[in-house]
Amino acid sequence: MSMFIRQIGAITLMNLKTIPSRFWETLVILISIAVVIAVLQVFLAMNSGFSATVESSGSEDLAIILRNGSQSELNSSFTPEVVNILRNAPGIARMEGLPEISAELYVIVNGTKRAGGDKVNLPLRGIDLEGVALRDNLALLEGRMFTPGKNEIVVGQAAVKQFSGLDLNSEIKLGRNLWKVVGIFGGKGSVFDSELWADAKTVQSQFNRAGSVQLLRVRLENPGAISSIQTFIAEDDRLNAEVFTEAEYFKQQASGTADFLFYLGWPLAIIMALGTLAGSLNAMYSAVSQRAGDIATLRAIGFNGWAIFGATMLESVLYAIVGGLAGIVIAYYMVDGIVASTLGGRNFTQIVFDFTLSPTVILNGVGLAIAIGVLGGLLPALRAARLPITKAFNLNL
Amino acid sequence: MGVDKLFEIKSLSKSFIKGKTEVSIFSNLNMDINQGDFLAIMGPSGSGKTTLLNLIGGIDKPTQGTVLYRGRQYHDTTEAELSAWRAQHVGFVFQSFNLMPMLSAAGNVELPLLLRQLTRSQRREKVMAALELVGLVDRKGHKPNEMSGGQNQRVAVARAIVGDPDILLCDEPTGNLDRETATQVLDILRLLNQEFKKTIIMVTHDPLAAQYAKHRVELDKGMIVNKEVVVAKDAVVTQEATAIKEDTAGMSGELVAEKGVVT
Ligand SMILES: Nc1ncnc2c1ncn2[C@@H]1O[C@H](COP(=O)(O)OP(=O)(O)OP(=O)(O)O)[C@@H](O)[C@H]1O
Ligand SMILES: [Mg+2]
Repeated sequence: MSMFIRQIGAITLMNLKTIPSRFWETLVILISIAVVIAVLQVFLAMNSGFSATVESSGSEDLAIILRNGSQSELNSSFTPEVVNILRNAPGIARMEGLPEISAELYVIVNGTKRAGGDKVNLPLRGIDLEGVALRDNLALLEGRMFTPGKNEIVVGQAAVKQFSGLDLNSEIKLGRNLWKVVGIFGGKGSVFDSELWADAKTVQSQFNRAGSVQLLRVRLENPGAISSIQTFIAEDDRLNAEVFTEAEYFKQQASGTADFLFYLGWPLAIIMALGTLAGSLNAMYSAVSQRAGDIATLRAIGFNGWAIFGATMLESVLYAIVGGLAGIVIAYYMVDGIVASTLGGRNFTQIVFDFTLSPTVILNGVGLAIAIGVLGGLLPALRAARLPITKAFNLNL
Repeated sequence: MGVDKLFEIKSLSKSFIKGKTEVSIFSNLNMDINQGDFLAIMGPSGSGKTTLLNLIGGIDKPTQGTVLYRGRQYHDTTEAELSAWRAQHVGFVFQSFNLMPMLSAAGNVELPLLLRQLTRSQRREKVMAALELVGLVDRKGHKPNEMSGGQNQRVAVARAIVGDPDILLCDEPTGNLDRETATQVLDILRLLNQEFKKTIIMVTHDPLAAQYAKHRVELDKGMIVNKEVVVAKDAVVTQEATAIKEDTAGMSGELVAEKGVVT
């Protein structure tokens, strides 16, 4: 066994020493594998960064109440009467006797990307100061909070960076009116970083939402208390609502976009990989026929055909791994520090996130590279192993 | 008198398919090769000399008939077993050297040793001994394209003998060499045959090379037409083999050849 491995090692070294004579051919293969892996890495990094952002935004202590079947707050709506009934639901934490609940509305306003000037949909959230208190890891970074009753907004830090006209103290037209940016808030990689916030009552009147809200955000007495709210809703015929923990809700919201990135990235990478596979198959075949004489000589000396198979496979996989690692490095330099925004799932608004080359993403890349190497090497390696020795000598003459 | 038959070639036929027709190279070839022999296989180009050598070395398969090695059939074993057999018993010297262009002389000579249970330093020692024998110690670091044809052929000889095989199969070992270097290589082969008791089977059409052999056999048109016992380097007893069924055993007792049939 050890001798078999020694044969593979010796043959692989010999094969690698022929790279200078097939330099460009080898380089093309490495580059094409690198490109495939880089593309995959970029998509998966987007997917993982996006998921991480969305998931870190959600808390297990908070619950979201939406109209039944609305799927996202955009489609949800509650009348003031329903909101009043829900205020008394059990399981909601109370502070100084009052339920910790935030009735919020959510409207889409027009924004412009700083880079390129594209028109995008921005989320404007109407919120009470109680609602602000329900975002534990958010803080005001600059300026002050909006004043209830005034056309003032505070803006998430990611939104300021990505979209124009949102700098502190500037005025921006949202809907039919001008709004003043009075503060900038932020939290660690949260979806709210991409939002604009204003006083709920002001938003209701400026956007003709007469008293209605879209979502209730409540603090739970304890993470298990959500079932009490569920029972309460189920037992009251006037209530047509469903309740999720915030974490669960965000996860649902993000799954569409995350899946989209995942299922766009993989097929794209696989289609490109098929092209690369054809190329590396070809290159390995040509390497094998170029070496037919050497292979025959080794076989005549007494080297085992399977050692030649193993060495050819190893060579193919080594190229793939080198190309793949190069692709990962390229992807890293391409996306490192890039902040992107994308449509945030079912909300059709922008969520800003970092690309994350997580270990899982990298493993996926290495895995695809190895698969290309194995598949690209298999047939040429079989040919090398089974080459009739005398025929190979004739080829060589 | 205790002469061991190393190879027994029995009714050996070889043909190739060329297009739709089967082309016979030789058929019904019979010959024994004894241990310790130095046999020259001669004949015109295309007469099947290399093919016969390849069959003996187990890198080609007979179309019909058998070759026995020490009384055992070996062509119908697995490829892996044949490889292992060659690694153990056979050293090849090829007509066109067939050295690995990317390896140094020492690297090339080391190759057969990679198939043995030897440590690195044991391998080094044997490589140096083989290079010493062919007089190329000072070229151990040179690659094939940095050496002359004669030097390359001597590296090839060193590679063939480094693993101490019983049998050397040489295909035109002097084909690409000038007289002087040819003589060097042939002297080494004779030394290997006489001092190290290697059985040497050498394909050649070089009369100089043929004079180094103990026996000669001539192939033509698919049959053995001539067999000779070389008495001395320049005195040769010739015997026509085309007179079939003639008893050759009395003469050499070592080399028996019968007329083959061309189809
Ligand atoms: N793999 C093969 N397929 C088809 N024909 C072959 C093959 N190998 C050899 N031949 C044919 O068999 C015949 C004998 O070839 P071989 O190489 O044994 O001759 P040779 O006596 O060694 O000739 P030379 O002196 O030129 O080396 C030639 O006609 C050759 O073309
Ligand atoms: Mg020949």
